[in-house]
Amino acid sequence: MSVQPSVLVVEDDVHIAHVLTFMLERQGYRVTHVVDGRAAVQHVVAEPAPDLVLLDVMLPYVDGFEIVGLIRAQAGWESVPVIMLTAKNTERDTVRALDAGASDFIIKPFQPQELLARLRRFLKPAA
Amino acid sequence: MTLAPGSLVPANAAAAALAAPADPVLAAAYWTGVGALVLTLLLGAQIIRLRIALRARQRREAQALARWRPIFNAVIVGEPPATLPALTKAERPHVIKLWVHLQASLRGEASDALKALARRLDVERDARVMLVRGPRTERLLATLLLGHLGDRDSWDTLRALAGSPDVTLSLSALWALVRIDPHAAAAYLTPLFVERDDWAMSHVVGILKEASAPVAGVLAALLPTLAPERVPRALRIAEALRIDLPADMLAAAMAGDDVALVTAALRIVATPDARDQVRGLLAHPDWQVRVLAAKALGRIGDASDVGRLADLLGDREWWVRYRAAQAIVELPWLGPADLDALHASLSDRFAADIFAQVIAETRSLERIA
Repeated sequence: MSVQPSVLVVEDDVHIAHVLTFMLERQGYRVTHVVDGRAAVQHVVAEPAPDLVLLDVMLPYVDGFEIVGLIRAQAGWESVPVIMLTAKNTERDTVRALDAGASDFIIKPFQPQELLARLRRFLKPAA
Repeated sequence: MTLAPGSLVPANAAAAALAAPADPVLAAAYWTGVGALVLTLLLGAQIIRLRIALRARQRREAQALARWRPIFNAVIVGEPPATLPALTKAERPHVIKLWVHLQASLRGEASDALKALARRLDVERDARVMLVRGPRTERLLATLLLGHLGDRDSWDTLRALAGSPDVTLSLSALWALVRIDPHAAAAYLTPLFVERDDWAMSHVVGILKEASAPVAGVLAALLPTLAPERVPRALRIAEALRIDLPADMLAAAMAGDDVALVTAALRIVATPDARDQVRGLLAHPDWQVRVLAAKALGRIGDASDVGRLADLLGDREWWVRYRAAQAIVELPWLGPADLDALHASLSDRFAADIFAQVIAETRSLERIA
């Protein structure tokens, strides 16, 4: 059985998804990436909960607010930390994300080190 | 089956079938059909050629990204490789595109590291060439790259490009100028943006927001020299960038007869010393002035203004009533009980209705938040 903490990355921007995956895997996390809201919904419904979800707000088909609501309502996923990626100058989105059940948020453009520091608050160091 | 000596007959028959008819009408139809067939074949060939070219470009892009993405990732996490592979000409646009995309998505040390990588690859030099000679896509990419890098050597070229009839290219060049030198760009761009009504305010603000401090100084110096019809746009730019203009300028604008000027000034007035003037505008004959005066008084008014705003709840114009109600509800010293008491005291049905609506809207939003 793996002891690596698992992270679900929901991000439609392929370049950013590559950067996030690289950064997280380098820290010893096991990363699963889904590319849009519909795939994220299917994943939440069908798969066991990861240790953390990194969730973009603006996604095709289903937005991040709806997905975080689904996560909070899904058996086994209720207490999974969800960090949302929101765009700059959208303070309303930040408030909405926290109201919807997000544990924390990161504003884009983001600093990779800040993102990792925020993740570490919720995840034990990978073995 | 064996053919008789006359086996050429079928070939002759085919040739005869393909020959143009003698009748002029049928011949015209025949040649039209032939022309259409040839054009269709040419179009089909062109589509195939474009598809092949697209596939080839996608393949080249995938190869470039496969080679450079690990390097970018290493740079972003603070572990740049000691040596870099040579950047080929074919890879250059794809690598610059990736660089620009990541630069816009990251900040802090990662952004600085990407800039250092660009300088190690000497893409600035390539981008300067692309800016002058490249096709449109490359010129756009070069503009963004040089803007992010703050490349002062490109200032003159970008300034020339800013006058391009291609709006996207022109706005990108203007954005790059602001990134390179906010002070010089503010001096150049602010008068330009005041003059050009055809540039959407959202674009203007998007470009100037990086230079709002120098723009404030330029606008303050520019306003007294502007023709009256240009002043409202200058004030709209100040409003959009949240720039505080000298109080005497706003007072002069609000004292005029030009409704566009008065409303533009009311949108940005933010200091209590303008209270008396704003109060005087609550009774202005133009309802748009009354709307904005109510909003302004909501920002800068004191306790004595509650009554003045309450009087506007009975205004004949719906928007005046609505904004006056919003202004009252947003006054920080009035609590829910005060608002309910004020609502109970309203004898005018229209005033009571609009006030009840705005109170309900506000409480609904507070519950969501």
